[in-house]
Amino acid sequence: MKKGDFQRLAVNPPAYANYFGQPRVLLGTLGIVELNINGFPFPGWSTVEKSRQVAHIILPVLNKLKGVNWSFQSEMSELDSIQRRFLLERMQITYAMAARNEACHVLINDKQDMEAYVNDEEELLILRFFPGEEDSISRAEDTCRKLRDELTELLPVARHPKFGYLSACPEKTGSGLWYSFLLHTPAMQILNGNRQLQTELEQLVPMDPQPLFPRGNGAHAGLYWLHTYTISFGKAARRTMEKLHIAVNDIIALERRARTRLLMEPKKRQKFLALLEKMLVKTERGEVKTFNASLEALSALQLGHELGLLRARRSKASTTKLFSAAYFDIAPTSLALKQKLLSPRRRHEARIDYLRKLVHEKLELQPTFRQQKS
Amino acid sequence: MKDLALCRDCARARGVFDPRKLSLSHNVFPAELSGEVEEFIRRMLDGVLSEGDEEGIGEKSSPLPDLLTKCPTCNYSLENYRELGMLGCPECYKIFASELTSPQGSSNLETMAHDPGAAPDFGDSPDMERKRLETLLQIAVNEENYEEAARLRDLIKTLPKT
Ligand SMILES: [Zn+2]
Ligand SMILES: [Zn+2]
Repeated sequence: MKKGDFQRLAVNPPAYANYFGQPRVLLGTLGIVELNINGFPFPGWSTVEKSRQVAHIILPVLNKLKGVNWSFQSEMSELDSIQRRFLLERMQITYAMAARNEACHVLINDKQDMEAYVNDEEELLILRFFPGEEDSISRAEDTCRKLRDELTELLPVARHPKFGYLSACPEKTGSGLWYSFLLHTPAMQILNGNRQLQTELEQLVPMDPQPLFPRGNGAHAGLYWLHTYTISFGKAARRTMEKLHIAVNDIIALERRARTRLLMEPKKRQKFLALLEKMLVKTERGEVKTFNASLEALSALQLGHELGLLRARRSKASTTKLFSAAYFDIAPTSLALKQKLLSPRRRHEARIDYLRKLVHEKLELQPTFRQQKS
Repeated sequence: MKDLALCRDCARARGVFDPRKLSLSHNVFPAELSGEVEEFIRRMLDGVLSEGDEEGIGEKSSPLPDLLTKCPTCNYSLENYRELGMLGCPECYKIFASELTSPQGSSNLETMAHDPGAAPDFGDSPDMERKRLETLLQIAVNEENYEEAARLRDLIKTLPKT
């Protein structure tokens, strides 16, 4: 059942990570199709035997989907704990999935922009990432609706004339589609602080903002997935999407304005410049150790570069690429898998080394402003 | 907005997705009995559900309605639904349909049952725009962006009073 090499996954980041270094606020949209099969309990209540039967129905259909090349496929029981944590950290499996074994399968395509889970919280979940700020939402909508309809023809999908596509939670019945948004809001984070930002986002959007890296409630560098469900069909689903558009556009506008203010308003600018200097010194001295602190340093330095307050030795494109890669390269399980660094102390050392090389050798980030004496 | 309450999280908070507590049918009956109970219910319902009629139970099975507080496919009971707010399998939607569309059931489902085009409670209240602007105002104040705060305050003033 196992197909593909885990180590290959480990050295190539998932598609969405390639967009981390972009100046966009909305880095992309994750479109999700969730379906269940008639005649079987939802995975939460199912037996292993019944889940196996479900997998036997779904897997052949997934493997025949046109234009999709699953280059990695595995039953969860075949993955060890580091591999599970690794996929979890990259948002390529869910928490529920990470705890499962028999009859639960994860499939990842060659570009790593599409994943399928069999017997996760629904019997079938397909996730696809669409990069971009301008049209990623509508592309996700179109593509996922088509995929859902195709699967509905190929599988005995559970649908109800009144409730639409069925799931274990009655509040989630309806279109069988939902969407998440990956947002990078470093300027709002600098102006508002992490906790404040999260509280405000919760107020603003009828959604559930979650730090991208599932690493407790510390800093997360303004990287968020906003999760939501569409819970109905027909006109209602359209209206739900309209609300989501408004909410996401609010956040984009807020972050853009926050960036402008960091640049244009003398007091904010002064504060930001001081932060950038501090980050340059700390990365050079090896004082940024933990994953969270490193994310925050990266995020601030990247923003400083975007706003023209720092200059790099390399081209814009090459700098963007290096920043993108860095977010993933310094993640704990990435270091554990790629470099076989199994103790936190050794990972701290590797991270210090990585950041110093990136900031001071590869990019040679320098302030474009006059150095302040403090 | 509460109705949209993010099922995974509410479910997780209740431990539903804790894999150690997964099989509800095993919690409902002692493990050694659950097979027998399942078999009994299945036998009783044989022929009632096997045709898979869309209308579900009720009409054909007037002597049986009491038994149908449990789903024959997954052993899920009405009490389970009331307690957890979740269902066990697609069949449950037929069996517990009356509960789901009753005033005690989910308001979303009721709305949709009567009018598939109706919007769910997704902040469609007249206060939505006010709330949105107030949040934007709060962010502007936090960021000491007083110019923007003043603009938003004026905008809020122009909204019709509720
Ligand atoms: Zn729920
Ligand atoms: Zn059921």
